[in-house]
Amino acid sequence: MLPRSGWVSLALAVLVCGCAPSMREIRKHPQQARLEALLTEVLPHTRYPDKHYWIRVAEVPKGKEGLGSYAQRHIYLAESVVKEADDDILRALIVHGVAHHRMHHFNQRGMAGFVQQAAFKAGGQFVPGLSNAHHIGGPVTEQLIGPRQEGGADRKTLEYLEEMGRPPEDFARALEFLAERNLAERVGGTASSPAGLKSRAQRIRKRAPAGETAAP
Amino acid sequence: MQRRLPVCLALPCAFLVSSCANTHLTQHPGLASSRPPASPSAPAAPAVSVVLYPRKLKFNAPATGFLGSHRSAYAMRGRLNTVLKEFPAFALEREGVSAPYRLVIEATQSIDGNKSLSTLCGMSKYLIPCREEHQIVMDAVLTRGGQSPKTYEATGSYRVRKHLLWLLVPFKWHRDVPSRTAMDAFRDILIQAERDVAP
Repeated sequence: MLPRSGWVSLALAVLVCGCAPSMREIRKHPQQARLEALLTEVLPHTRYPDKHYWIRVAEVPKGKEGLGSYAQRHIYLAESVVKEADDDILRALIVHGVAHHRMHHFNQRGMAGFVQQAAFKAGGQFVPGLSNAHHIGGPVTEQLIGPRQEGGADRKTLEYLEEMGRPPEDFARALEFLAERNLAERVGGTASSPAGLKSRAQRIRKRAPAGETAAP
Repeated sequence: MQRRLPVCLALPCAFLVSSCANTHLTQHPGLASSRPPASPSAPAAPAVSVVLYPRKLKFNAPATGFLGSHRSAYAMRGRLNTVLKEFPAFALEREGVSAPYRLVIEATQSIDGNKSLSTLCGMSKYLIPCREEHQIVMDAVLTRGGQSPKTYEATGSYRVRKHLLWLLVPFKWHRDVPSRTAMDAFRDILIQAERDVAP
């Protein structure tokens, strides 16, 4: 039988894996072509325009996420966002999703998780039950890495928008659009709260020169 | 040391049985079984260049495992390469080689089931049994400059039952089921595309 520490980590792991909300992609959504057209505008401005991204409209069972960036170059947009947002907002959100992938944020997380898992497995040979602790340590590490990555992705988003001839205001509006509807941005296992999105929008407006905030 | 021994034995056993007890479920549209054998006369140049984008979904979300998703993509490419040998008019897209048609295949392998139970099954080294359903969904688009694109779809599914006891019944493993299901789905796509490409 498992030792006591094993049962504790088992119970915590079940709790952790049961907590993560998921966005379920909708197959063949009527707005799929619109999203793909917007993505096609973005890709020529990235370093590798031939990279394939899985952009999908998603239903959100718990209704809390508006934009999701996941591993294997997935970008999910909630159905409510796709229905209500205009092209400028959707484009800015897609650019932000692409920015996360172009900056290899998932590879960084994956590598950190892999090293941690290996360390816990090795430790588990000496401390019973420790080998399962990566189920708890993984999400904690992601929470530590996440906020720093958001800042980098925001800067990259503004770079791409500038190259596309779009004002930074688009991205600020997009973040506010999510915040006003109480929607979050999810990147892997971490989520930005609506309050966090608002403060990021304010930071973008402060950073951008006054002449660049107005839409052309 | 004596307490460690069963764990050391269970771990390799768990790896051995991790994909056994597979059962083939469905195949749609299932054209592969009715196809005659490939003709020996191969054309000089392929008419269709094929591009594959594989991915792996686990419980409605993209799989996060760095090695697992790459391994799955590598396996999917290998299966497509095997199937392409039966279709001389199709070849993987390479730089410098141009073909009049382009076929883009999005291959999705999705795993459905009880996520918590599956986690427990893995953590308990397959002592706690679980059952997963694997769906293979292929969406393909055939394009040619100036013509409207044509889309094709093929699906296949199989069930995987995981438990340490399956190690004792090797005749139930059916280890070829995952690759056979994926290859039949590829064949279904290529057969449909072949009909539109044929003059």
